[in-house]
Amino acid sequence: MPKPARAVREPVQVYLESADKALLDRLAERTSLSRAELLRRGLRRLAAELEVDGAPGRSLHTLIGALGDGADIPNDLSLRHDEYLYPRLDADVNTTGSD
Amino acid sequence: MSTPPAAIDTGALLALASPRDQFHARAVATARAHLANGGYWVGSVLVLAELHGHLLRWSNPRVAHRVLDAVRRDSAYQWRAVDDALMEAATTNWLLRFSDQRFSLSDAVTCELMSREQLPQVFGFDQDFVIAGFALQE
Repeated sequence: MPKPARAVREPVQVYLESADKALLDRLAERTSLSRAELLRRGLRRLAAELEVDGAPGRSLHTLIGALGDGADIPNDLSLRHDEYLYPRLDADVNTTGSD
Repeated sequence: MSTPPAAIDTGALLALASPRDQFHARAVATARAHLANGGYWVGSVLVLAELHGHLLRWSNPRVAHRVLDAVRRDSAYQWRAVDDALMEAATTNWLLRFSDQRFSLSDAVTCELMSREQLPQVFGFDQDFVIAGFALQE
């Protein structure tokens, strides 16, 4: 089986005080995560907390509610999205949109 | 502690987009909790294509483009390209293996990504993933 495609990664060198290094070691031991993964997750969490440009989850503001509250949008769209997109001719999916 | 990455399905994005959806509130809560714990999602470009198709159908091109652009650029998601090898594996391992099910190619590719990248959960509401042996993200 072919190996999965990996995203491009760039190395970053970080100097830590001994107390922070010990904290990182304890977190790695407690979570079984690599030190690099802990630093990545901490970075994302801080960016989300501070809501800086480029922070993970910035698109939620655009995505949430984007379809509006139109009566033609079915309330089971998330569950049956395949059926709405690829309906069978004999299906009972409401392909006209009203629910 | 930190949340591991999860796969993402079109249904989760649509639940977020539609206030009328039965899973809208649950999807918003799940997404915010996942992000607050430093999590991110892995998906294929086929999911983006399905999302865009639904947005065109249920809204308009302006909204469809704006949402697609925002989601595509958001580092909360890692979008995987779909090449011949991935499509071949998705077809063999999921479409043919579950030939009695109406799995979409997009679902099959997501299943293959979950298998390859050892993603235990998918953010979605589609029971096809449960049938395939994966868990839905709570």
